[in-house]
Amino acid sequence: MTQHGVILFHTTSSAIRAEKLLVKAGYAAKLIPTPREFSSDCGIALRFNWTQQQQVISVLAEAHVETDTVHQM
Amino acid sequence: MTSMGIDFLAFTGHKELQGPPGIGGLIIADTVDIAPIEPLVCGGTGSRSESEEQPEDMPDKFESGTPNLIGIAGLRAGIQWVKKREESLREHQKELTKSLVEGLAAIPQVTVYGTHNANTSIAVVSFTAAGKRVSEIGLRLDEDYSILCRVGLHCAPAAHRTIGTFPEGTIRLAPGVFTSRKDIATTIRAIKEMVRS
Repeated sequence: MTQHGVILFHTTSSAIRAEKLLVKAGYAAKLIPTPREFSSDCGIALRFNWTQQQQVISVLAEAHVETDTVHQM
Repeated sequence: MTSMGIDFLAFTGHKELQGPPGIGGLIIADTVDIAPIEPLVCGGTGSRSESEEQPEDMPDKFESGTPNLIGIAGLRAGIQWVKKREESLREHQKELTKSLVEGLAAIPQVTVYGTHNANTSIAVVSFTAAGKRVSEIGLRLDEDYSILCRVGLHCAPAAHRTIGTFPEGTIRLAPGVFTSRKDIATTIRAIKEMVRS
């Protein structure tokens, strides 16, 4: 089974932008309800393949997408 | 408005009225004295162009700037569609809400919030399942059953404090006018399967 990671965002628009960028770059990224263990925020988070953590983070950093925290699921 | 004792009625176009997001309305009863109410935004009403002052006439006083014509046209079309079917839509949603509430309430691990009475509530059902995170249920409903819902606090932390579901929140399902009886049966079956696993 794929080991997933999850990225939290301050805004919904950052989350949507992140998904769009990552999918376009060929990464398995999906917006999911924010897992309650990480936050009680009103919103969505991005799920990705944990083995691609470094690449995913750098894609988002290069595009200046503001992220909150990153967790292993 | 008068018979129901309503002074101000604010509504959004995308809930039940089938309008697009980004359009809504505020109806102010004729009986309300609007003189002391200051508009939030002034200017650009298209009327009284010679004056630097915001017009006091209704509705111009509260209609500054360029109107969202695309939204208004979409909302109009939505309302016309709804008006033709008003009673049948309401009956349809009432029936679906009733069977959803009954189906969920019959699952021992599930807690359904609210009155459980489809006659006095809108078509929104909030629930939790013992031992399951709301985010997990939401994700599995999406991925395994193609059922979309919203989980968590729904931007209404005070409401969740009132019903005792803060900070975990609930899973919220809303049978719409295009939801079928079969959809509701699938949803209930899905929740049953999830709470068992």
